[in-house]
Amino acid sequence: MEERLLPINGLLCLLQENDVTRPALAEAGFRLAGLEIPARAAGGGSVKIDCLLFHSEASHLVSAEAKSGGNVENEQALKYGQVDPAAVVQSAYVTLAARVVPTHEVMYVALAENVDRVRLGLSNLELNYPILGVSDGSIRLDGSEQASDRLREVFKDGEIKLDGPPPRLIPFDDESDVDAFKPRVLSVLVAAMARKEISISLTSLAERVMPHFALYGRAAQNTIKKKVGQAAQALAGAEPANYAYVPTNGHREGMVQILRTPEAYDARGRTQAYQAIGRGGGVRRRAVPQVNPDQLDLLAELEITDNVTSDLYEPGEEAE
Amino acid sequence: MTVTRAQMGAELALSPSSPTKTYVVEVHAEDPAACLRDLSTHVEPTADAFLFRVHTEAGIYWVDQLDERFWRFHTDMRKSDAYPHLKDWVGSRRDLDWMWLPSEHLHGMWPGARSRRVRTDFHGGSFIGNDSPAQDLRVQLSGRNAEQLFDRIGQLPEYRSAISFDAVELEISETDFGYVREGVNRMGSFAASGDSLELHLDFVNVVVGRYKRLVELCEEKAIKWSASGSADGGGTVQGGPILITFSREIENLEAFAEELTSCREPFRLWGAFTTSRGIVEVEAVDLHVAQTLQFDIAKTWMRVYLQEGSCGNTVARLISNLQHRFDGALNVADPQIEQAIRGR
Repeated sequence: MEERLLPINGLLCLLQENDVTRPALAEAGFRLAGLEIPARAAGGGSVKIDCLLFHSEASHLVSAEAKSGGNVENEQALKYGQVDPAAVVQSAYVTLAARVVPTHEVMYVALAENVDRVRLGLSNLELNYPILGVSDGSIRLDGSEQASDRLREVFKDGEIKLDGPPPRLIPFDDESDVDAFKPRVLSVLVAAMARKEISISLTSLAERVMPHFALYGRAAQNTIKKKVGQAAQALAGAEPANYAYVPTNGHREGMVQILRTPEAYDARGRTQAYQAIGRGGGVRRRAVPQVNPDQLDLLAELEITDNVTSDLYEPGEEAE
Repeated sequence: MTVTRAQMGAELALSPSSPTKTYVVEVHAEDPAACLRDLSTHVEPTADAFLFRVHTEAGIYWVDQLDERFWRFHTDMRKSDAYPHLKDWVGSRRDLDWMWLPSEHLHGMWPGARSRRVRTDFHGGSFIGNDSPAQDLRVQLSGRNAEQLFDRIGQLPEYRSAISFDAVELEISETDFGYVREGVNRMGSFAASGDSLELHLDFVNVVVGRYKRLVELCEEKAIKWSASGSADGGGTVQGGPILITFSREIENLEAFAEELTSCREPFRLWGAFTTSRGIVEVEAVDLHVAQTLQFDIAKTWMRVYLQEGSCGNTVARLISNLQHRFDGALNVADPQIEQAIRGR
């Protein structure tokens, strides 16, 4: 997972039950209400909420802006503060179980090392949103005195220790480098080979690479498609006997053609052919160690060579 | 003469010298009958819309599709004649798979049943370091209540992770049904002798039902992305990765990932991986079913990212194979899945 996506995944990890880290936000009653939610700002224009949390009992919404770096976009930060909670409820299709008028707060999420820069950026705009600082080992709420009681309560003991890196629910996004897409793109191409597909359009490839592709707006989707295509092009260039990249032209969408599949071989050849995929594509796959897993089982070998009748029971087999 | 389900009951002999076998195969088919015809050109329909006979040179399979996902292939053929066809079919197609019973599903299988033979099979191979007290452990015991020995071995901390049930043979007697002696292995192969086919079929149903619950739970817990449908984007996600925790440490994460994704049996996983923040992130393909999935592998745990629409059998297979190759005492963090693995 890219460092820049640690904040959003760190936030999501606090909602994720049955993982290595305690789901502190979920335990406090928050749940995920939406990702990439467009919301109208009272001053005009709109803002896209990276991650929307909802506390059903309190009818309280938390709009989280996840920063991959330390810069604050002024217009965006101001618009977050102008968002009408009712509009957010409508945009994210939140179900208000209790007849309580929803309340709303804004929270920024950043790498712990960038919290001071984000704080400065917000202060320059006279905004005092709380900031969730995510590091490899913990998550801490900065400016908790500005947070709602519900949120502050979650972080009352200071930081929440992470017992492992957060799950990579969002492993890459439209701002990711093309290299970040390559391993996933290659895995999708290998799966297509195993299904004996002969080609995949770039849209289909992007949808398979990113199961959350549809959550992005049109511009971001186009960027993702382009990067997935670039990754596929690089992989095809590295393994031209396996894949051919066909770029988009005026008449048809670009695609990747699958030129051969290990499925065409017998069992042993198939395994070796799969093992060979990806070795030259800039994606890390080591050579499989040539160790016979039965090498040390000399006792079994003796049983066979001595032709000793064994009384070992073979389930599903009658006595011969 | 019209062939019926009753005729299957009359023909399957349950003989001690030539036991009746049942092979359970997991199938993803929109049209099960057509799928079966695709496997063999010698399919004979019966009066029962869910039941077919498939003829081979050596004998007949009775194929029961009453459970459209987990078909039963019943036969009195010898294993050497019956199994190769099924192995070829399952091995060559992406819509067919075996059952992969977790170790606990073979332990205490039937209330009141007496286990006569039990086999555990643990083959650590490259997953386990040379210094492990139990790199390979294969034990077979015949005798009354044979499972008890393994319970005792399992209480020894240094051997606990190397106890993984592979096959059992037990005697079942039910007043309303009769008697059967059942052999079953972890890939859903059954052999039965006795005087009650109904009891054998019931036994198979119970084993399959327990396994099916595990598979369906994994699918329920899969990661589900739902888009709002707006051109501006937006949506949400439900579910999350399934966390497997180990009772032993992985000595070398990268070597473990390499072995896991070597494309070889039994895992048959292809993978590309990177190391980040002390864990190995794997982009994998389950070559059994040609579906992508992802893993995060740490020293004492492993996340499995199963996306909506993927087959829960992938997780069940992974768990069963990890129990036989790395840790027979592994757990799953999700309490419902954990219970289903324990067969409860």
